[in-house]
Amino acid sequence: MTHRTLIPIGPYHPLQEESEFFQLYVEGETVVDMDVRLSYNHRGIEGIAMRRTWDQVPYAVERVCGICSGSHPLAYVQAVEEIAGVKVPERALYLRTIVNELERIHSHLLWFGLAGHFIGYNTVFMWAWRYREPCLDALEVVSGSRINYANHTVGGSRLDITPEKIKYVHERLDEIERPLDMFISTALGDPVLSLRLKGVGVLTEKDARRLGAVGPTARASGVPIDVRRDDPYAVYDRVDWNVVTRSNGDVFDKVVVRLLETKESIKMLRQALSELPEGPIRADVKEVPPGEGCGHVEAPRGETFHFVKSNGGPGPERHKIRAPSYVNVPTFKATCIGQPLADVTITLAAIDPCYSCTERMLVVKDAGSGKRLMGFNDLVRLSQQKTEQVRQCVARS
Amino acid sequence: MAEALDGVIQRLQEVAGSAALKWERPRPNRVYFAVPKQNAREMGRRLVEDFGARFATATGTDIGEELEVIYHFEYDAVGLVINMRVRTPKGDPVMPSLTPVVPPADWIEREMNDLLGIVFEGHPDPRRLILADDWPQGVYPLRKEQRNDA
Repeated sequence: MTHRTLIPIGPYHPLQEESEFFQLYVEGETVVDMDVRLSYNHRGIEGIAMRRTWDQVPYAVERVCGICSGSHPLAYVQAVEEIAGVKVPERALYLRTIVNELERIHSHLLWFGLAGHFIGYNTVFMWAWRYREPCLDALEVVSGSRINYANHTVGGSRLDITPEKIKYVHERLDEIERPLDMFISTALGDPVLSLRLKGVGVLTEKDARRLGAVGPTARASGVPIDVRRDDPYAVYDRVDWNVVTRSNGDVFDKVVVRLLETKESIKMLRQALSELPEGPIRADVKEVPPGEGCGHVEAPRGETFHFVKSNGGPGPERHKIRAPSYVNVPTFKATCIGQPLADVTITLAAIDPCYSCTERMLVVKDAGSGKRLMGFNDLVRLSQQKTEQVRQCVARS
Repeated sequence: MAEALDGVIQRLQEVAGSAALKWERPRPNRVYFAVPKQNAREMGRRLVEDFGARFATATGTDIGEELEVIYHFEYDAVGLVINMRVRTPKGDPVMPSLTPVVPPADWIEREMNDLLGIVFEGHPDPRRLILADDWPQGVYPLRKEQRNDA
């Protein structure tokens, strides 16, 4: 007789954008169905933005997400600049690229470390976070803050950068680059990692397209979309870089895409820092006429989409924000069902939702008796045990 | 570039057909058009299946006498954003759901139902998404008559 068990995961983390609650239905070790509930921490930022002036909104929207705090304001200011027809000075476009690519590196390294932890590679966690620090230091020097940079403003950039700061950022990139190469060769060459992550949590190209997935989640499934190339903003059409794609759609490919993207980011950063033109960093925007504008930016997790409507007043009449996880999280249903429970943590983690949410997994309960079977730590341990088993198999063979 | 932008827009207009009205193109790669609500689902299907667009999201707005939903689609090969307007009077806040033919519209339609009180007819799973279970019935935070002190 099959025995169906309900596993609630959630409900919330108080800081980040998405607080989610997953209910997994399992039969034995296999996930057979799932449901997602979100919005435990809906802060009404769209509503708040509609009661602020054009210049105040970037500060509100950068708090949508602590990690994508460069991407949301940029999408917003681009939407407003589209309505007002602003010509943003060259130097500001370069500065925008610099901030957003530094953001991508730190976000991907944060993810890589946590993914390592979930499958029992705590050394990966330590190393990845160790080398995320120089990146945050560079952001602090460029914008004045490690997080919530407040650097993008309607018409340009808020803070300029000096030659000394450019030199400092170059040095931090030097510091990161070699460990990154090491991460990449280790991840690609490690037999345990391959056995543990290949074929796990596969999102097929068909499902990725059907569900409208974006960012590394889509690119690992062979959907070659990237706003930076498709609808270029800042200076992405002027620097030399490549869109990284893979075709298997499993967790392994999502790791590879993110790691290789950090290398592309370094490549872009070096060009942007070296070619930074002289000139003003802000255009004067006196008023925003009535109209509608769409701004979208390739955040570390995928496309962030902002729609702004102006009625000619002091602030937006309507401001719609769509974060990438809003379309990526629904892919869980396509990737988790039929998977063993031990793979769920890493599959859920592989799209890089706001992580802390998944850390609030509660308990595995027996649906019949309500008896507690497992907690979040047990699920992570289960995942780590599977890695250990794979490791022992490799050692024996 | 595989396809030129103007060619893509011409193909879009052919796929959309005569139900798509009031075309606007304020920027080279931003187009807007309106569609009567009874044609909305079929138009969504055409954009995704026949034209090959990717669904991005939708914006619901209280525009006074009416409620407006703008569905945002994208055509990544040329970085084109396609905005489809659907309107319904406040007295009859019902319009067809796109979700049966455009699966990623699922959550955003539930969200607009919560925040603006738009009923999406034919939605496969019209539960609350944003608002708490004990939120009072009939109070829609993004309606203009709603006073928020944020």
